[in-house]
Amino acid sequence: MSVSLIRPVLHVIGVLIVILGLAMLVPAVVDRIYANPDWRVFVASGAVTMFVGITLILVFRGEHTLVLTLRQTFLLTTLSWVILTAFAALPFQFSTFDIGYVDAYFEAMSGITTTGSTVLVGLDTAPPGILLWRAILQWLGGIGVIVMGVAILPILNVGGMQLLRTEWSDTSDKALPRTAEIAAAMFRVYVALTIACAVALAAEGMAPFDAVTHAMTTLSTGGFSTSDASIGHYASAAIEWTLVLFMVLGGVTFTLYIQVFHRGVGALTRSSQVRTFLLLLALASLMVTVWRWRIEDVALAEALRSAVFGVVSIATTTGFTTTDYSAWGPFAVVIFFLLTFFGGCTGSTSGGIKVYRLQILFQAAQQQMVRLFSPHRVAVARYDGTPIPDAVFHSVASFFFLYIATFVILVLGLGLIGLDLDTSLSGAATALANVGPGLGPVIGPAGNFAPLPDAAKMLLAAGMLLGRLELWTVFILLLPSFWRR
Amino acid sequence: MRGFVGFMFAVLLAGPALGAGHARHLRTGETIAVIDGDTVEIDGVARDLSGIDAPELSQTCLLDGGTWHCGTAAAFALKKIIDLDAAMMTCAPPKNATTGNGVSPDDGAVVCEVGEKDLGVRLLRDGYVVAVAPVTPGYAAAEAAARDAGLGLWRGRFVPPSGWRAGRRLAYETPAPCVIKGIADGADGARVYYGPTDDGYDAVTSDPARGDRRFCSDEDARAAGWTHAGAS
Repeated sequence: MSVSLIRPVLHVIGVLIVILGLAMLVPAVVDRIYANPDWRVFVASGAVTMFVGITLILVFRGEHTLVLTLRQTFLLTTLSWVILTAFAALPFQFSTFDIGYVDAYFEAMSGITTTGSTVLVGLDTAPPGILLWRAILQWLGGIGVIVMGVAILPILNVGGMQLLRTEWSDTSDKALPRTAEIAAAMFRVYVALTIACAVALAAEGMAPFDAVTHAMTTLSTGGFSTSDASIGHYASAAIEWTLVLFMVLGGVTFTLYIQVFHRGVGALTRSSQVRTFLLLLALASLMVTVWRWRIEDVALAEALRSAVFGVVSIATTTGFTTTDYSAWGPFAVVIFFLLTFFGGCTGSTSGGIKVYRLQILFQAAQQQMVRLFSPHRVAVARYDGTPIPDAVFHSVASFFFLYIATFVILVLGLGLIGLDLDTSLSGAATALANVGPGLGPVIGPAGNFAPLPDAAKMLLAAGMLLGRLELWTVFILLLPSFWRR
Repeated sequence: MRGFVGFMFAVLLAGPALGAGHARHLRTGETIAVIDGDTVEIDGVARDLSGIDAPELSQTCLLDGGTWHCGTAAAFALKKIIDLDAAMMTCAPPKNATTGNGVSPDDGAVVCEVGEKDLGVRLLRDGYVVAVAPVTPGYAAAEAAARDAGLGLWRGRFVPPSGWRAGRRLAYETPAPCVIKGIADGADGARVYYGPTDDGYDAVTSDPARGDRRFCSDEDARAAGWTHAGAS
């Protein structure tokens, strides 16, 4: 590994670390206002973080303007997430929560990857700084994902995203839209939606602090809450339906919101991915509602409300809970387990396999069936009118295989550590898809990740990272040919 | 776009103010609150969960060379389950193993279930509690599963709750202020105690001058004649 490879990468990481350190000052101020002793922890963590960041910037400063090669971009993406998490964990470790470093790293990773699995108990009485820090991590993680998903991953041809590059050409009146412009526009949309969500939640009775933190963890489809009982704590239908709306908004392709400005709401309905996504949500909600209403004898209004919230929360990979759907009977549990994998739309903050890839795979299967019956017929598979190149099929199919293979390895690892089947299967799935709650008695919606042994937490943290970075970005670093000149 | 903005205005103007935090009710209607990791309060009466024993609220356990508050952690874990599952839960005296009917034993313990799932088994499988005699096979298996997987308490070392109540401590344990706050001027001069899972816990301050006390476990508090602050 040559210095010239790593120099600009560490320089950029230095910049990101400094930004993280500055972000730590926000909870410090909040804790000071609430007279909570944790403010010292944030100031100290922020100081250490910024010191390291500034050192990296200065040491690895290059003479020329910064240009990153493809290899360096891959390296930067993975390395930055791992290193930033290490620093983001500092406030957790030294706060009044008395958790060890593994727990702190897990919580920080869960925050930055917008997963939402937590090892903290007693959130209702937690210092406001820690609650805000969790929300900030998820909110920043959401931005990182959007920028990565639209600006970096298609260029890296990761997981079949090449086809979506044509989407960008619709987002601006200019002939050649630049990536930075699009990213900036999406950031503005993200901020606007976050503010709208916070205002709506506050109007429905949430304390302003709760409203702001929940808005941040909703639009990032992260799912951290300020209460152990998550959204169940509020027992408010208005809050639940508002969150359903904003979770869906968080799970939809953000570039479409920019198009909405230019061309109206039709831009959303014209996207087949959004249509499929909403259809999926509706179908799953219907199935769970009917199951609870007819088979479990729950009142229809209650069944509908809890089913829709649960389905939307898991499908968008947010992970808020209002009740323990683990106890809803086998059919509902299986639906929630499968929904964990589906994910939201590409170019959103959601995790999972993504609706777009499932659409491509479905098209591939359809095309195969047509070929079986009419081998001489020329059938061109299309996505939103554009013919799908074979390269995209290959890319998506191999991503799907890699996803399942990674899932299997995670499950095996967790089983080896000694966890039961419920916990292993749902733990691996929820980490890889960045959802949050698992299933079963230990890590289910009414459970917590705290009791797990350290090895399991580290494995799950690795799973969260892999899922967030869409697998290839991390695995490519394991290829010897990546490192050879 | 206009529709969206209109919707946002409607949302902003709608909705009354909300109070957070309210009593949880079992499926059969009784109120339920959490006192500690193995004790609940049903309709104002403290009841132990049958067959399990959780670390006391002030107890700390050893993990990776440091200590963690296993007692309060167990209480919060139970509180989370109650908060999310209470509406689907029923609590009843345990079935007497020999007679098979619902004869309530003298100690007033209860078994809580969500559908077919026993809350005690769940807490054992999480590794927050230990099973106590007489141990049913189901409880023994659940505890063994947690112990083998190294979950919760079993990640490190701990004094069994019964030993801790008798005064045994691990060598490293430094004396810490007991967690339960006993307040001597509750309503009508009643003496009430607050645990970490109670809503008012952070707000009340202990003032020895007016007779307030600290207790290390809810058993101590009740034995001294204090009553729990009530379902939050």
